[in-house]
This record gives sequence, C-alpha cells and structure tokens, in this order.
Amino acid sequence: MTREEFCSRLGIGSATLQLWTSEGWLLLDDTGSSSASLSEIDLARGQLIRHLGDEFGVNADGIGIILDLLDQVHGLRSVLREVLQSSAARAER
Amino acid sequence: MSDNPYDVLAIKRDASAEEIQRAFRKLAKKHHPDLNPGDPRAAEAFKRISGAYDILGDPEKRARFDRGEIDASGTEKPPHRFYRDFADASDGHPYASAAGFEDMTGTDDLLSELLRRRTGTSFRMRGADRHLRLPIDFLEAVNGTNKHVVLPDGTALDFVVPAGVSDGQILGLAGKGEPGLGGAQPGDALVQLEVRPHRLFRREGDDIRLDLPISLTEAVLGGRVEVPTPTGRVTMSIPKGSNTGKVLRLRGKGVLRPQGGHGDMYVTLQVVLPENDPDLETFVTHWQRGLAHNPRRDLEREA
Repeated sequence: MTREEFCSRLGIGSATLQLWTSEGWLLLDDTGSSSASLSEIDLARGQLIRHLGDEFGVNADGIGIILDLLDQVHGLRSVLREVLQSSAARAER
Repeated sequence: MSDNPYDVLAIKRDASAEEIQRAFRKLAKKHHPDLNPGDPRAAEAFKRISGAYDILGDPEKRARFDRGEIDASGTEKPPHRFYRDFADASDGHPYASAAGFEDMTGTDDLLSELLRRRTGTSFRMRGADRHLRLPIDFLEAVNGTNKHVVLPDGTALDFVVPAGVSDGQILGLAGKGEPGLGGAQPGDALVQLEVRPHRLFRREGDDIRLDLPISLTEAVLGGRVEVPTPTGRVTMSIPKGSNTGKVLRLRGKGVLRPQGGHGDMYVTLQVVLPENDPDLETFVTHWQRGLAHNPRRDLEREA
C-alpha cells in the first residue's frame, strides 16, 4: 500500500509516519517517494505503536525499547520453534 | 465468563468515564497480544476487553447498551491482525532480530546451523554420534569377535571387533550413529570397549603374561609341560633347575599388533611343592648340601 493508504488505514497523519520512520520504528526506503510500498506487517506494527502510545501512554523512548525487545522475543521464538522441530524430527527417526 | 462489558472490565454500572478508561488500560496492557507473543488466550481476552471498551468508552454506545438497545457484541470490529501474527509467522520480515541469541551461535552447532538456515542456506546437519560402552571378554579382545548389539531404541548393530583391541579402545562404526538432517550423513557409532580381566592371563601392551605352576620335579629336572595360550595349548620346555620367578618366553604367542606381527607371551614359573609328602621330608632331612644352602646370603650381607 502507499503511504497515504497506510496513514488513512491507521488514522494517522503523514507527519506521524515521518516521526515513526525517523525513530526507526518502521523501516521504509528513504527515497521519500509517496509510492513507497508498505506491507501488512508494517500496518500491524503501526497498530501496535498506536496502542502503545495512544492507549497505554508509553512515551517515545519506551516504544522503541518495547519494539526492540518484542522483535528479539519473536526471533527467539522462531529459533526455539526450529530447535523443537529438529529435535522432534530426530526423535521420529 | 459473562460477555457483559461491565463484567469484562470488572467495573461497576455507575463507573465514571475515567474509571472505565483506567480499567481498560490496565487490562489491555496485561492482555495485549503483542505483549504476550506466545499466549493464545491473549488475543481472545484482548478482543473481549476492546469490545467492552468500544461500548463503554463511548458515552452514546454506553447509554444505548444500558438501555438495552444493543447487546454486548453489537459493535464487533473487523478482525484485527496483530503484529505478532506477522512477526511470529516467518523470519523473512524486515524486523526480524537475532539479538536475543546471537551470542550463543558461536558455541552451539545446532543454533549456528539454524541461523545459517534462516539466512537462506538449506539446513543440513550430520547426525549425532552415538556413544556406547561394550564389555567384551579378554579372549574376544585378543582373538577378535563378531558382535551383535541391539540398542535401547531397537537399532541393531552388527560389527567386527578386530583381534588385538585393548581396554578403553574406541571402535568407530561409520554411519551407525543418529540419522542426519536434511539428507546429510548419519553420525558414527563410537563403541568404547571394556575388556574384562581373565582368570589366568594378564595383558601388558602386546604381550601376555601367565603364572605357570610347576612341580618340584619339573623344576629340578626340567621337562616339557603344556601351557594354555589365548589361541590354545602349546608345549613348552622347562630347562633343568628352573626356579620360581623364572620367566620363559613363548615368541609370537602374544596379541596381534596393529602394525602386524604378534607380541610375545611370558610365562612366570612357580614351583609348587607336593603337600604332606613324608618321602620328601625324609630326603630333605638327610640332604646335607640342602641344609647348608643359604639363598639369603646376599640379603644378610646387605642388611
């Protein structure tokens, strides 16, 4: 989706999107072209940022820390899943 | 649990807008699916909490609900796809992070392989080696044997224990370990041998030692005696006047050497007197030279 579509689906302004990308919370190409495509995962991440900031009252520093830790948790979960799968595959043979 | 939004948020009917928001925030923070990536109930709980807040957080909807004009599910939102649904589904997304385990990958082969796989290389890993201990008899170690072993998991191993193996030696059976992953080679079975001691033979490297009892007559006059060896009985000549402690060598009757050839067998003689022999007593009593013989003369001079 385009930046405009992204902003309207999240209910945020383009300045907010600018802020999020400059904070590094969202990864976009820096060309600034409005046709830059954002995906569903960016949208879901944006939704999370909104929940953290607007509804839970987390400040900007906190949001960055939370996103970083969450991405680490997902990385760990994915490795853990693969470890479990490999050991299950080994146990079957 | 009731679907009543007041119950969901655990607030009273007359709660103020502020109390409602506070209750929602408290519950939402606790149950937000993105803050509970591994809890399948979090999404359901969060949906109920959000649904309740959708009604009670909006004064107009709250009034309609209180009047019974809409029910608790009257304002269902379109299904919300949480960040965790994407972030947890695959590794290929731009926010994927290895920072939580990167330091472990240097020391752990499995994790390193997984990481390599996550970066696109296909995952192949040689199967693990099996480590086994196998007790074998002394003569099996010296002469070699065929072994049939069934492992606890039902795998059968048939292999040859070559002649000349020693205690603690490890036999590597290529491909008899755990199966490999992703089409890779299986591991090896590493069988550590425990050689049980023998009643008669002792082993020193490639040589074998045996204590051989001989009679007084054989010791004094010499003679031919039968000697057990690991490969069967052989006849050995005992020279005249052989004392206890004399060591005779049987060349080539030891253990097969890895580089070829055999070690030797060393037979230590032990003179054994007959028990309660009056003739021998009579003879020795009148044996003048025997009475004069002092085998400890050297010891006495030293001491």
